[in-house]
Amino acid sequence: MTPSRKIVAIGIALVALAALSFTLSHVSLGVAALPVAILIAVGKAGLVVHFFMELSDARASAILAFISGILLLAILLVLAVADVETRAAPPLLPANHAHLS
Amino acid sequence: MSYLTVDKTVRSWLLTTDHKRIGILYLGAVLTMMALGGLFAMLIRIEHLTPGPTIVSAYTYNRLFTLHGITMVWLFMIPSIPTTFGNFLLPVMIGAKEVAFPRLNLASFWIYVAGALVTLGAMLAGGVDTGWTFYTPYSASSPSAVVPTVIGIFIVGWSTIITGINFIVTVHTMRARGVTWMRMPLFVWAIYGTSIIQVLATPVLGMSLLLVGVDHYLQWGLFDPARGGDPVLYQHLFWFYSHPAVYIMILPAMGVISEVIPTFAHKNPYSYRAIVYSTLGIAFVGFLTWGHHMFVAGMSRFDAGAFGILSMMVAIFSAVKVFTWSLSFKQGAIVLKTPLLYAFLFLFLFIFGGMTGVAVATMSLDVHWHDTYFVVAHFHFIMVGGTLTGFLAGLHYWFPKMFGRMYDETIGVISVILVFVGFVGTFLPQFLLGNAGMPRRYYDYAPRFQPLHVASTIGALVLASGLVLTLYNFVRALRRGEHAPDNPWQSRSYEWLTASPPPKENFTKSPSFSLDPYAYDQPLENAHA
Amino acid sequence: MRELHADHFESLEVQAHAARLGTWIFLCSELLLFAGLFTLLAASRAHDPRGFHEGMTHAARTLGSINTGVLLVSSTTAALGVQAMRENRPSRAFWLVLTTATLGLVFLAIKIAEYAEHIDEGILPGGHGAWFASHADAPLYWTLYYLMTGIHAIHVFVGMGLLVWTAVRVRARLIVHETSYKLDLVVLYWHLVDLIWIFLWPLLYLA
Repeated sequence: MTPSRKIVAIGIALVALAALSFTLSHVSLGVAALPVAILIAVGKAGLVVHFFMELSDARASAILAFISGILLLAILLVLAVADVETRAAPPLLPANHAHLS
Repeated sequence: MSYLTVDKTVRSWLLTTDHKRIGILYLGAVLTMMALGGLFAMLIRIEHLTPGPTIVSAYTYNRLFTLHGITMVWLFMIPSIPTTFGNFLLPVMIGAKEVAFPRLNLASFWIYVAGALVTLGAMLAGGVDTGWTFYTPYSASSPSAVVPTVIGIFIVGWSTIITGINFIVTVHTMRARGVTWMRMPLFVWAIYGTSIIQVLATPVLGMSLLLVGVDHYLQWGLFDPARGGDPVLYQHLFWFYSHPAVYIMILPAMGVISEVIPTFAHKNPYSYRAIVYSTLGIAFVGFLTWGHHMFVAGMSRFDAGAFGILSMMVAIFSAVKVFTWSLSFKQGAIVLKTPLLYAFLFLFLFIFGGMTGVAVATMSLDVHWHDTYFVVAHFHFIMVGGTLTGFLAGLHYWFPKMFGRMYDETIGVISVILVFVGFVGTFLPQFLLGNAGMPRRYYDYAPRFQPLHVASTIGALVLASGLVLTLYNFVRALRRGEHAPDNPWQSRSYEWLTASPPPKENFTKSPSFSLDPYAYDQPLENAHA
Repeated sequence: MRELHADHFESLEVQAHAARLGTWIFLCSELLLFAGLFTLLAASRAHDPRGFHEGMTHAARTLGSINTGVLLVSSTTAALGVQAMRENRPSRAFWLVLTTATLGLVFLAIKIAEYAEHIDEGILPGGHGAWFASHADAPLYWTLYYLMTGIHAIHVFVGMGLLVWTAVRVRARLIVHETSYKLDLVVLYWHLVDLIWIFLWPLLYLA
């Protein structure tokens, strides 16, 4: 396969994955909807990064840079969301407060 | 012909792509900002001579401490060492002719100037009273000039990112023959680690300040609890940058110290690798600790515990550095000169500031000290005690390299003493004030705090006099200082193996270094470019 | 022949390496710029899942999805342009890059149509607008929707500008086969813009 044909094939795969995601969004997947959508997105991102941005052919320094970026994004996201998810309800919401007094 | 004399027109300076001249331009700019920030600090200290109104109103006081913080953090300390010594020395230290992107480097300087002007313009347009932290929801409703100020800082952030990218790429691609990764001068490693933080953290600050601007201007309520927003999330985003920012300030200073100590102890560092790895360790772990600013902000207990533990990990890397530096003196031939005295000062203040840092990272203690003068004193010990003393050590150490003149050693020593006495005199009382319950950022205070406030103000005056004396020393040296030899300190580091001041191309021919930059066991004749 | 690399670089190869690395680091910087927004989105959603669900069911899913297709195709044409330059076919590269920029324009046009539709319904950022008087949607969903797609659209706009500029430079032989890496840099940026959308789309429109 010539390089150009390969690029076109990847493009078709990307659009196909998008179509799959779009179709699935009309099917009620419940709690699985978000993980499935993100999984497909990660797959597409992988195709773009690997075949279009040619990260795996880049120098180690560029790969390291990209990994650091992703890693820090994950750190910010996980630790901030962990806070929201594990925060206890405020003990004295205005409503409860009125009830107590 | 040196880089200073190659072309003397004003135009050749303002449009220069020579990294050395850009370094000098930055030096002028950051010194101006430091003077301005210092002026604000003095006004704050004078206001606190008496409880209640002294010289300014409460609103003006609020704007003063905000402007002091903004000017010192973003316009002085963040750019201070990387843009001046980093620009001037990083390419020389790796034997390169230039940074990788010289025109971008010039652009970065002018973007910095533009951002600084917008920020200062916002001060003239009314100033800001939110504190340099811009905490929501107050910053969304403050009547002061929030929007122009955050735009100014956003612009300065671009300059920081561009400089960071430039340095990283320069280190990766421009090293001369003989300069392997494990033979780079330690200052280069420090700037490299700093650049990584700059590139990865600054955009998060840019975005969060932009959102504050949007919230203020358009009332979108992104962080407004009344509309479902979460003000604590703003703090997460803000400190994700602003905590690593402390390492943007301190790592370059550590780099300066790592150069000064081997030179004046005339000995190789106790462990080169320990300093390198702890630099990278701090750069990474620094990203995991931001939550310790938010222990009492309503963050979850789970996160608070995690952040408390992660924060203390920074102390491990810092301790590795301190021990390595101290051990480097062992069996050295120590020459007590101004730069080394500043390095001692750095060690003292950094240990003191670092230990109090571990204390405030302990959640139960933080509840008592949070938002008091204790915290103010702690971060001034680290940020000013670290960055300022590192900056001054570097200025004295590299002054002959940059300008080809020697400063006066006696005046230098007197100014170190004044800075030391003044600094401790300013901030030691603040530790005590905070522990006694004096909250930070308060205009008024109870009469029983007055003696300590007066002591702190006197300390600040002494500190200021030390800095003015330092400035005098440099101005004097520029006009009629002795001409410096090429290597006045008998250093082995690569930047001293060329003329002082260096020629435009840094080295007269493409250099190749035969020894490592700390080979003090070899005769100086063997170390050549 | 004119020197192809700047004086301070050892060779064209080193210069290309420096430019690529610089671009990759810049892309990381961009990634972190969006990191703050993705964090806001994730945390707000964790805070109020129901309100976000309401908002999402009303979002213009079809238009948003068409835009996903447009952007994915544009990334493909951009990659083809790079390949053409490597095969020393500058004319083909010129047209492919220009096509990419045009697809960017299509993306923005659809985006504007989408905004217009929502504004018509009285949905404005910050919970402003008539819509919120009668609907239980989280105003924050819509604020973040406008914010994130808006900032992404600015990136599309900048990317388009860069693509057109590069296409012109290819045409004018300022970028030639030997210096084709200069086209790579702009296309890398374009792929990043696409990459961000690949995640924005499911998070704001689908699930």
